[in-house]
Amino acid sequence: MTNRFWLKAFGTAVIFACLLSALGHRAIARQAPASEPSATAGTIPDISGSWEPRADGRGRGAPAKLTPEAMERAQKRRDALATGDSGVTEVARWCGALAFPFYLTSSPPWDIIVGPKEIVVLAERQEASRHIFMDGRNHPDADRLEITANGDSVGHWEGDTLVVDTIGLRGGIDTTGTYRGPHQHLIERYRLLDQNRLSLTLTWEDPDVYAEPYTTQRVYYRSDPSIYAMEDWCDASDESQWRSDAAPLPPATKSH
Amino acid sequence: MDTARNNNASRRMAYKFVSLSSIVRGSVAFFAGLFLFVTPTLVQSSPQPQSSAPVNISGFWELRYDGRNIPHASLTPAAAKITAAEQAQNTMHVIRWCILSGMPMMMDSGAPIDIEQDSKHIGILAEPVSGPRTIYLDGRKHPDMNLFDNTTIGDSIGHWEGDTLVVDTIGFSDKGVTTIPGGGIRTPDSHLVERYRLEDSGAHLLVTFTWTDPKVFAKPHTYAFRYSRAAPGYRPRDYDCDASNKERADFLEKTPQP
Repeated sequence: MTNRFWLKAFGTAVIFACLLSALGHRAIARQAPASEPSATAGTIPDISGSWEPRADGRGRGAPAKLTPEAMERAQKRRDALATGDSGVTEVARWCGALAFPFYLTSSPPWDIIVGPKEIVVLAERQEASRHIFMDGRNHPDADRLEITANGDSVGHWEGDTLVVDTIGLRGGIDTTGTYRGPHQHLIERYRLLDQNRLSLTLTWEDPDVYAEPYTTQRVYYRSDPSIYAMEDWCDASDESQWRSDAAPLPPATKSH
Repeated sequence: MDTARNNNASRRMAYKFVSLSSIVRGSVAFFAGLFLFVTPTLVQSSPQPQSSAPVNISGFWELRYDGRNIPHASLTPAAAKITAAEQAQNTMHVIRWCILSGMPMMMDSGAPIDIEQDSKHIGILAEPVSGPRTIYLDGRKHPDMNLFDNTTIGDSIGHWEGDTLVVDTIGFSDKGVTTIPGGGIRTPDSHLVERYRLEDSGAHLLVTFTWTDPKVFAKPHTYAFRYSRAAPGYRPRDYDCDASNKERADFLEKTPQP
């Protein structure tokens, strides 16, 4: 009798354990859709490697709708460039961090490394490399969020698409002379079009610049496998780098 | 009586048999349920391409106060003439102007380094000013050094010898922080071989560095760092070096007054 009781109790416990397991499984799937494995789980698209822009892969999508203040700033910038401004920004002059997304618009390739819990993007340009955390962590709370050149990025896979969410990007005038506000929010969606082309859709929220979220699409090409990393050397103590009159071009001698 | 006893014995046997099979079935169901519960967690936390490498050394690694084993280097007479003051002056210039520090300073810069590894390559990122290192694992050779623009981090290729990652680096420049722990400096003729091995079930990463350079070292110079795995959830800080900051520049350039 005692044995029978314990056997029944054990059987009931097993059934409850199975039910709880199944419920737990479904609960995880519901609570963390961001981390839900795709149908290709275990065969995540191979985005590892160097990617480079080409002429036909830039800026598809409707033009950004700017706020009136942003339009005014852009016009001032154009006027300054038209009246002799060299276009060299403070960040560039002082070899400062080439804040995100500079490397996306720059010509050198950038390199994706897919670690177990983190994806890193290595960029040759100064201080441009990024950490994208894939371990399920959230962004830090607002009072602990450090505002940085490359922001705080967390990512997850949605099927075959890598989705990266970034906040904490520093505002101000960036390397290209573009103003960025202090409350940017960027979502990147990376998807392989084929083994040699990577589509990137950026959706940018910046209430100080864009009247509505700005979405643009770019396509990057896989670099030749023999390509290797180089170093973008910048020495702010070397003024000759920045003074156009320091090394004047020799006069033309060729006659036609 | 005997028949009844036999029937009871048969029922008990049958009951035991049924109960045992229930237990087996229940246990299988339980572990299957447990597997279903645990599997998505595992899949979510490791959605990377499978690497053929024997181990994965990815993670944030910090060098603690007892993590350095640095003997004195045997220097050539020419290298021995380079004074500590001269090296310190160069290092201060690099720090003052936010210039890329490079190797080997980036491997011991006061903040954890981030090593990320996939099937093709490994990246090493430092928090203070330095370019990232890329270690290629695809079997390539070093590029033609006649065409290579030397860098502060050099060109690195790696391969596995058992559970040890062996990294070979050449193509260094003489820019950045060139001081090597234990003595000597990095030059365009420097050749570095590193050996990375996980210890204590992945709690530590032992890295030995061996520098050779006929103009600097009388014999190969080897030292070792034993990194500790940083706490889970570690986030790197932004070094945010600003060479245009006058207060910072004055602090670093002017002699302190009492």
